[in-house]
Amino acid sequence: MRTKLSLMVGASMLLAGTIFFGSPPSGRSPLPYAPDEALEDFKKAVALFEQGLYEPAIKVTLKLYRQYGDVQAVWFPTWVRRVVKDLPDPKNHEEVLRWTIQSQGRPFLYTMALKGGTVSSLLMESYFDLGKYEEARKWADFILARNPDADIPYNIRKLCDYHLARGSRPLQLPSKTIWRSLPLGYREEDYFILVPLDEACKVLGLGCSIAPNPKMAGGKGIRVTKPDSPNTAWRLFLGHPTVERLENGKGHTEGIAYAPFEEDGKVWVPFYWLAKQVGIRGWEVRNGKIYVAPKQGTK
Amino acid sequence: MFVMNFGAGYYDPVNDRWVEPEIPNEAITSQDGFPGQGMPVLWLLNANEGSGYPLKVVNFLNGYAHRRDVYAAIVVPGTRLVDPNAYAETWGAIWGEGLPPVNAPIMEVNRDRLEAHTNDPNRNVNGLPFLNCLTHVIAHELGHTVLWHRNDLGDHGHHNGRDAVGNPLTNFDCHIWQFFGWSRVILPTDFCPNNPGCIFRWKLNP
Repeated sequence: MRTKLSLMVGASMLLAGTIFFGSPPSGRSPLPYAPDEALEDFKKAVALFEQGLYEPAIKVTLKLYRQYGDVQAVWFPTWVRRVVKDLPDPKNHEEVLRWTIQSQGRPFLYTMALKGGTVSSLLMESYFDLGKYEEARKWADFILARNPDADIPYNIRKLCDYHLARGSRPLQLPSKTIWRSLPLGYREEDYFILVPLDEACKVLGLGCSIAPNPKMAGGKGIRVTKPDSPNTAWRLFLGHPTVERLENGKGHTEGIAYAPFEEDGKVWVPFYWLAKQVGIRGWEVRNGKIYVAPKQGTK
Repeated sequence: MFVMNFGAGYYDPVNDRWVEPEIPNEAITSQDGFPGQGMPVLWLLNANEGSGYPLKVVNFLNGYAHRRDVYAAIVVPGTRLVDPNAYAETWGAIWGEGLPPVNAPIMEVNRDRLEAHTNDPNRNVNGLPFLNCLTHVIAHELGHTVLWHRNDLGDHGHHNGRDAVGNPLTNFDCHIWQFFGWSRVILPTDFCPNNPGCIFRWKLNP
């Protein structure tokens, strides 16, 4: 009990000592955690948002807001357990940092594996990304009322004003009646739509090679290419939420919201990432199939 | 921004004597020195002022430089910060104990989010390069390792255009400005390079 108490005191002191870019102490009082029964909806909302499915993300997040108010949640996604067995308590950020820096358990970027968020920031960002600037501004104001110096809401408010003054309109996708289904199987994990990489590349017109390579993460060298961009290639790493984009021989690291993994000889990757690389502007899962919007300039 | 270690004389075992520092402390205290040039100074700790080897001790070059230990803050990429409305956050000041037992300043940077926002033309309306944005964020957090809780002037070390009683003092041309500047055409490249008033908000070694 004493140890627990001292840890809690220590964590509180450290939290109080944390400085954020643009966030003074008034914003540091953490929001309450969502109750356990809300965690699945939270995971769903974050996954939808990270896959660019903003409208359904808003629907789920508003439901959370109505039920629980502005709460937060944090968790380790399922893919992490394929890579490491022991994990720190995701709610104890100090521990997560310590495990990362000290390579406790094994060398692993635990901080890069955490998922989470707050209801208010999810709504603000989803509305903004959807181009619904009036709604985004309302949620930015909502956060700024509690924390007047919060950096991202401050910027969102300014950007909303900028776009509203210019009369910017939300992105209009073609009617869903002309979206086409893809001949591609998928699976769902933590509400991410995952597809077998080699099959998906064939369907989407991407090049792909998966070859044994003991030097690479998971023992596989995975490379995705785009025929119309011969100087660009991506390297994916099993069990790592990062992608390396090779452009004219130079590497550049990018994030991927769900780490690729291999199961029964198949490499699974999130569909949203592949869709982004081929310029698909809208997609959804309907009746067990992935439907995509026509690319710009096509009917 | 620059980093130096002032005031660290050294012991010369051959001649059994204490050698005074080549660069006097006045360089950072006198108006004839760096402050008069409008430059903030990051006063760095030497190894005797803190523990945590090897984390704070990274600069072992040769001869003279061997006597000068330079602290290092640890930069950690993270996808979910304690504050969801920030690009980065800092734990621990350079003179503090940091996050035990790591015992060094740690800055966690949500690099993926920053990059996503940089690539979004609806946010990055002036097309700021990602590397500039990342450098600015890290420099801002590095500033916090020095400006730790300078609450006497408000805003916990951030520069926000005013002093504690509202007089204009600082401007946004500074890494430690309060907000990330998506509306800017050029991001700051230094701490208050053109505004000597800013230096009065810097907190040196307490």
